[in-house]
Amino acid sequence: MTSGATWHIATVATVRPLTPNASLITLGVPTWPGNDGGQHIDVRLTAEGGYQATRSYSLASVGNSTRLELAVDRVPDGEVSPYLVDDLRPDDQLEIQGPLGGWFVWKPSSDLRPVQLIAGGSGVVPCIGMLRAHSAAQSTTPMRLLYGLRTPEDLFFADELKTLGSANPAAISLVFSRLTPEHWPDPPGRLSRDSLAAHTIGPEQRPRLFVCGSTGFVETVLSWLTELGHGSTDIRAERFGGI
Amino acid sequence: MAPDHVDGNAIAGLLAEVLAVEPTTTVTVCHSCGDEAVLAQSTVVMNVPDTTVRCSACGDVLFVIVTTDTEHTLIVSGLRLLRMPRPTP
Repeated sequence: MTSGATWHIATVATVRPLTPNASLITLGVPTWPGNDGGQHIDVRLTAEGGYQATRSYSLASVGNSTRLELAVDRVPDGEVSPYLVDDLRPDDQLEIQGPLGGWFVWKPSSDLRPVQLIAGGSGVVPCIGMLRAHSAAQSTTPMRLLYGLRTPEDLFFADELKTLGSANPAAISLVFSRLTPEHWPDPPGRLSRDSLAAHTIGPEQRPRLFVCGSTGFVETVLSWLTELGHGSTDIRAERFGGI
Repeated sequence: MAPDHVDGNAIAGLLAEVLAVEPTTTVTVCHSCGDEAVLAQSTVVMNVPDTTVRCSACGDVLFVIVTTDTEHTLIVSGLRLLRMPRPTP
């Protein structure tokens, strides 16, 4: 699939709360050319005075569908996300540009090296896209997700991850920093180098790694991965700023 | 100048192909330190109206994009080269 700087008019189909701080937004985009797992769009809002603000959002949806799915976290004092999370209504129109990005992307291939996805908070969205692309292709490449989040309430795509985890318990690992679900085997705690090592594919299997989250999360994880012996050329990262 | 030179009109097609790159996988070489990386690995600070793109190895500026209501200005001060795959037909 191609990547290109093409603007599209998107019509909001549904908006529903995903967590107390985030909404799942589906958009109908008749002109959408399809997208790969991990690609993103730019959303441009224009205020009445003509002032414009543009922000990037990863797509959870993949493939040829013209129905796009994005999960948006409300950034306090943000210019764009509070509007998208709280005020957007079905039939509203948005200007979007995409599909964007070719680096933080996973495509099905004959490569048998395993894939390890590591997400912090809403950094899970492009990883969901990659997991969906993996399922859709019935890929035999092993793919695992480590998803770090604060509390069970913050979990994105809970049902989908539960289904994937039921089919393959090793595929999905959740690490809660502040509060865990009841009867969770591990106490809450920030991700550490040791817990990262325990929940991810080891360097001896030479996995390809994708890391997405806040800039601080990504920098920390990248330094740990290097210390654990992963090669820097095996790691691709996407940082979304300082939340 | 070689007598067989043409003018800029002749590179309309070539340059259209060069400028139609997928940005994040385009390779950059830093003018200061020579580090080679893809653009997705650079360090970016987005402000209005300036977006500053720095080398993640040495921190020097690769380029700046200044955006107004009507124009983008790309100030390429710190790039030795850009390298991109040719589009597949």
